[in-house]
Amino acid sequence: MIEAVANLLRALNSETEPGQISLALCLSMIAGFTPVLSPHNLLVLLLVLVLRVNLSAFGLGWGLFSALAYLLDPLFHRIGLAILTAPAFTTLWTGFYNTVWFRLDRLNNTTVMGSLLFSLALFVPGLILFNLLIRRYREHILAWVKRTRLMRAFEATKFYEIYQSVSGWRGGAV
Amino acid sequence: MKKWIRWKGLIAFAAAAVLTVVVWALVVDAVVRRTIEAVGTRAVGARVDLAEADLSLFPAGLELTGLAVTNPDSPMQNAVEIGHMKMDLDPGYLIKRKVIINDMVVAELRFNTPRKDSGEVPELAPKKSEMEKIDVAEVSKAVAEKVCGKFTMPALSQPDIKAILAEEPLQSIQLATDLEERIKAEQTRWEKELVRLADEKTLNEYRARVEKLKGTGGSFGAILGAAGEVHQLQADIQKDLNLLKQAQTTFTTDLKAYQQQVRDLSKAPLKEIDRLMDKYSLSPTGLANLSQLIFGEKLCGWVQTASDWYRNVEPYIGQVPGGAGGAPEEQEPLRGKGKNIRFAETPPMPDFLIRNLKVNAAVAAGNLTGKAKNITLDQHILGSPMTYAFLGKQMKPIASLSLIGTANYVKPGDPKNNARLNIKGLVLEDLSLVREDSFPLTLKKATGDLILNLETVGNAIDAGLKAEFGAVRFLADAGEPQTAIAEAIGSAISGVERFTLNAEVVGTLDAYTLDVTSDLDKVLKSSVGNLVNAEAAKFQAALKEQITYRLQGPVAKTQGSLAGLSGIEDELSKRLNLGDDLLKGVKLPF
Repeated sequence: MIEAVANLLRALNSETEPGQISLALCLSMIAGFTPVLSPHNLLVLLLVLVLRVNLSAFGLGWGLFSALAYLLDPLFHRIGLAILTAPAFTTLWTGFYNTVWFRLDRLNNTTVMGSLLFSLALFVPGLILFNLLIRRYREHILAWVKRTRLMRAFEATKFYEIYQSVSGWRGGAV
Repeated sequence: MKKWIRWKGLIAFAAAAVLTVVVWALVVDAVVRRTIEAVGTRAVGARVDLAEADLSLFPAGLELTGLAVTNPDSPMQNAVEIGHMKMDLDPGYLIKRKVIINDMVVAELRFNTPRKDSGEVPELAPKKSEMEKIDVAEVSKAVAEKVCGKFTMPALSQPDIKAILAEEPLQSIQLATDLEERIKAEQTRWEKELVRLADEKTLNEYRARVEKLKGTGGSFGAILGAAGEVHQLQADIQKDLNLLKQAQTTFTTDLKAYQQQVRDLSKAPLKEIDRLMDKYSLSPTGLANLSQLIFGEKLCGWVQTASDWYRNVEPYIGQVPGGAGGAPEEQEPLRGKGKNIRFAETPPMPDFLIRNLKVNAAVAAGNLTGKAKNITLDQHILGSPMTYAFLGKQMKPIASLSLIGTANYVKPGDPKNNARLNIKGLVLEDLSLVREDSFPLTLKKATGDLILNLETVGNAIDAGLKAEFGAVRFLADAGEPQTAIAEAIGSAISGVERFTLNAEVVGTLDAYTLDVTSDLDKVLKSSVGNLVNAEAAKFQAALKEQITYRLQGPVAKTQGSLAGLSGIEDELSKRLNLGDDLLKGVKLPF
């Protein structure tokens, strides 16, 4: 865990493309919010492995969003129920319901549908926001943080040693 | 572009996928086996063991070997044991999370087989203290009695008259006592009335006034005055006489009514005897439906057991989860969170369906083979009813058995079931029919054929049983001295070598009537009818003697009271005669 956090910090502090980190976080949002064994998460996993996104960011994001999903489940259920039972969409869902992929992914379940729609809806805004935040962090906060006494004290800790010793995933997103 | 693609990741994904498939192939059978055992154990409440499970993808199917389901009430016994079960699954529907079994073969199905070790799961076992309190046979009998009434054999011995009369208050005695009290009250009332009416003293006073008037003479004025007094005297006497006559008329009417009631007292014992005869004596009429009493309890118990089973199963097979079409419907998910929304399917298909089932079962009687089609809990979605046919040949107590039926829940609000059971060469042995101490009856042996037709529509049941038995041997052995009638019935029924039995069950599953007829009734009626008549006549004579004896005292008292009223009648007559004589003597003195 410490290593993963160190990796993420290293990626944040390195020259890694911000998009690689924010895309990882957005993909982890889908995997974390929706039930872990949903078949669409195989596609997410494939994308995470094939696209050059930051794996540490994905791992940490997945854990974070999974924990958040427990709190958001009632919201996901309400969204899913509203969408699936909306009279305007009945014909659409009925058509999908008769397809294999829809049933295999249990998209007729209110929580699965709600969480998937919620995470997809936040995907692009999340990507833009995360990008922005990373850039802002690097431009304004990183230099300031390095100058603080706290950071200097931190540099003397074991955690910092680990951070320094992390060598894998060169460039942060191999 | 290369900056964004990580080809090694693709290789890693493929490797992970292959590894997953390999692991799945290696452990899936064990996982399936353990899942079936765990889920089954939780559902049954006792251990469910499975020796082997083999899940295959191409073709999709599942084979189970050595499935043993412990009887939760008897942990050293398996309720069901299946040697081998093979099912071909429809992979297309499996992906849609539906278990559609095209063909299922169940072989070596056995019931109530012994276990080597106990299948009890303490944390799931039912509370023993509660189970031990329940006597299944007694509960069954009680329920049968509740629905069909109590099957009580008529008394086969002459009842103890003194004991009967000690328990039965005789209405005729009460009637006599009441009548005596009323007559006494009437006498008291009339005695008071006599005081109010003109008596001998009053009449003598009238006589004195008459004598005085007769002595009146003299002047014309005196004569005229006497004439006025005579008229006044006549009017007074006439008034009292009228009251006396009116009282006599009323009294005569009342007296006649009481005399009639006293006469009716002699008839009261006859009604009493008839009532007690109906209640306590065995009559030939009572023998007319003896077959209902002999077979009724047993048959009712069987019908009730079948009815209870059906009612336990019916809520599941008659459930309506919906989803055949129309508006989307919410369903509680099996696990996890959220709700599954069900939409119309094309074509509609239930979540679970066995299209064809073949069963080879080893029951206690022998081997039974059967097949069934369209086994599902959602017939309204499938649109077809379940059909089944079982056949058994060369079984131990049965030469052949066939059961054909349909369970139609296509319209859940209007379920229809029909079944026809045809058994040939059924051998019955040691079947206890009547458990009364006074007349225990056992069917020691009988061989016969029977046809049972059953039909239910909604909650209504209509079933008919026709059976013919030959090589019959009844045993009516009380093990203690029996009455002549019990001996006669026992002797008659012991001589029966063949009989027919018809039973009709009509009504609803909660309240039905069971009508049993048999040619045994004719045999019993003709063989013991005269004996029953003679016994009944003896009982009647003894009853009449006892009742008459007990009634003698109260009737005598009533008659005595009635005699007391005669004195009042005499007194009224006497006063009227005196009055009439007096009135004749009152004339003008000129």
